[in-house]
Amino acid sequence: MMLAPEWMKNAKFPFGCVLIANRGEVACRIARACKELQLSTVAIYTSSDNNSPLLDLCDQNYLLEGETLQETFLNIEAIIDAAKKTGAQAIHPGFGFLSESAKFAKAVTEAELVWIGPSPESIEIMGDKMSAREKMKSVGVPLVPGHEVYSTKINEIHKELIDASSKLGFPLLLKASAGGGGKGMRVVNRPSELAEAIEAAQREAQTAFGDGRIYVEKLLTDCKHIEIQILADGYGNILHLGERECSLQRRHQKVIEECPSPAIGERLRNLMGAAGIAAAAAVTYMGAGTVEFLLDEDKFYFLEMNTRLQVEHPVTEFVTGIDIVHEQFRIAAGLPLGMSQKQISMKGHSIESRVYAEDPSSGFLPSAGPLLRLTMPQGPGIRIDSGVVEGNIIDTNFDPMIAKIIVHANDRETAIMRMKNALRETVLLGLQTNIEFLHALLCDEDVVNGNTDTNLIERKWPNGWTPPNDSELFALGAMACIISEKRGPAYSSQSNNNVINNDPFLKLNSKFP
Amino acid sequence: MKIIDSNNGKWDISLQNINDLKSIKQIILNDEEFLFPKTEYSIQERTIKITQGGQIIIANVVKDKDAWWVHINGRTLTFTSADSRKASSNINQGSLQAPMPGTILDVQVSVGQSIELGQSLLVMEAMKMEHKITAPFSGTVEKINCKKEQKVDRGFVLIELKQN
Repeated sequence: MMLAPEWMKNAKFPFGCVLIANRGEVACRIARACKELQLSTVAIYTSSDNNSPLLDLCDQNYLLEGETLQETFLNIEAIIDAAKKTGAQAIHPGFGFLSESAKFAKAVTEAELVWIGPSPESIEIMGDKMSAREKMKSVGVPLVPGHEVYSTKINEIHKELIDASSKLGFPLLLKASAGGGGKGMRVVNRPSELAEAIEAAQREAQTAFGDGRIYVEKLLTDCKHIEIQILADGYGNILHLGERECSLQRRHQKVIEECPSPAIGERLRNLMGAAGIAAAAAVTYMGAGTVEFLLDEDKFYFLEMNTRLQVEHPVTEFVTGIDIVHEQFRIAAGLPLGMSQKQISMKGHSIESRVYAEDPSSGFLPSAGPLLRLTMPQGPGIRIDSGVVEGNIIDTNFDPMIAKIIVHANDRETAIMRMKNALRETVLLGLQTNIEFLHALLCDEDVVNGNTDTNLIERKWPNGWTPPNDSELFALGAMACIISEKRGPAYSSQSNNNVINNDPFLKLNSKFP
Repeated sequence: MKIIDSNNGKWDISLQNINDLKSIKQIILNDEEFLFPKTEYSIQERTIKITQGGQIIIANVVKDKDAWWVHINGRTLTFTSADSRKASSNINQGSLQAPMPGTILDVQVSVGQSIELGQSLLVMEAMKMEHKITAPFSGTVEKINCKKEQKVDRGFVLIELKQN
């Protein structure tokens, strides 16, 4: 049994050893926070993660048997069993995988382990879009105008939605209550399309989630995606750590995030912060969470609450100086928040770029391959969150995110310059990435001026992005290839003889949830 | 020596003597000539240092089979040797290649079946993303080289079609 560290001596739920129920960059980020807090760590891994740097960062490694995600990172029973066998007393779910599973949160608590996250009840209410909307309505958090359908009779559903649509006006968006990832979502542009769209949305929702309930929202276009970071200690103290601007997206996936948002002043920040706190209070939230809003001019509307750590949390950490993962551990141990809203201040500007394994020139389709050469940027105000090292293979079975580059500077202009230089310094050879596209985005006039909205990338580059042709540079590059031939075989990649053949995923057949 | 870049530019590089790195003075792209009279090179442990008119440019180069990956001036370029490209350029229009690496979710046609322009033939998945392969013309399915749940690399010829 690992003893709880000294700082937990007055904690209600002390623990000394944490199992990280995740992989990749977020697992590494959590492992480092544990070390800083004198907590012992357990990594879970599959046979494909043998060369992951996470295994070197953790005190214990536990192999999950199985080939599919259902058998491994989504296997509640196996993960709790791993915690029991390794002596872990707490579980941090990270993001993705089981992080928003109320069932997992409940199973962890029932196994008398400390769950680093909100209660299963909070997760459940916010996970169901219709119940979340009802809850928000009841506490006065502004919602995208819409209508929830509770009837299960087909003709009543149609009638209710037709009535609602005449009140809301077109275009509309039909959404699945259990929704996520764009499944069960349908845009309706005119009344004649409605009946068919209702049936298609219901069918898709039923297949994808086993729950055919749908609701309708007015379709808001040219909006910004702004989210509020929340910390709540379960003793009634709820704080907001300001906003994050996440409007730059492709395929509903964020690409570049920043804090603060250039579109928000002190007044709007306070209003949205208060709405975020009200949203969290409505579900008696505990831990770190994020309330997402759509911002249309100066009106904002609740989208959803993510009841977990968020990928883009580092920009908030840079600007507020607060380590969100540290706070998650303190809160889970039952310690009250050691600060008040007044003590939270925002200093400077932070930007995050997500480096994806994808080919911008073929419409951002995923790519894969070995990391033959990997050199990440360095320097003041630069933070790298990654879970891979040179020699690892980026595989198509998992998320395409390879690493996050986060910068901090005194002002937005300097932060953009710092990020552009960091991207140019990043050397990643062996597979296609979006690094040059990220650089091009930060050169775009609208991005530089903060005139972003969630459709910007698709509007400007509907078929993907192709780098400019620079013959002079190509000539130098071609010459460098020829010169490199002189270095001899020791410098060419090892991938021909070992990496590819040993790729354990050639045998795997993972399925996504 | 002939190599081809990712934009299909054909390079003809003339080297007087590869042992003397100072001797590369001229390289030709699609008949356009690039001259580098004041350019010097040195090979370092992990990089190649190019000095052009007193300005230093660092190139990272890694060779993977027949392809070179080059990072230079913030850009990542790929080159392949002209010989290896010739071998793979026999692929004709009716050979549908995988646009991304991934897993085959569904094969929706069978050999001998006639298909319409734009018809969905096959569904692939990579990194939680589904992608449909559709017919570039109307015709018949000549050959199917993959099956459900198979993992394929980018460029793998999935289906071969014959145009009507």
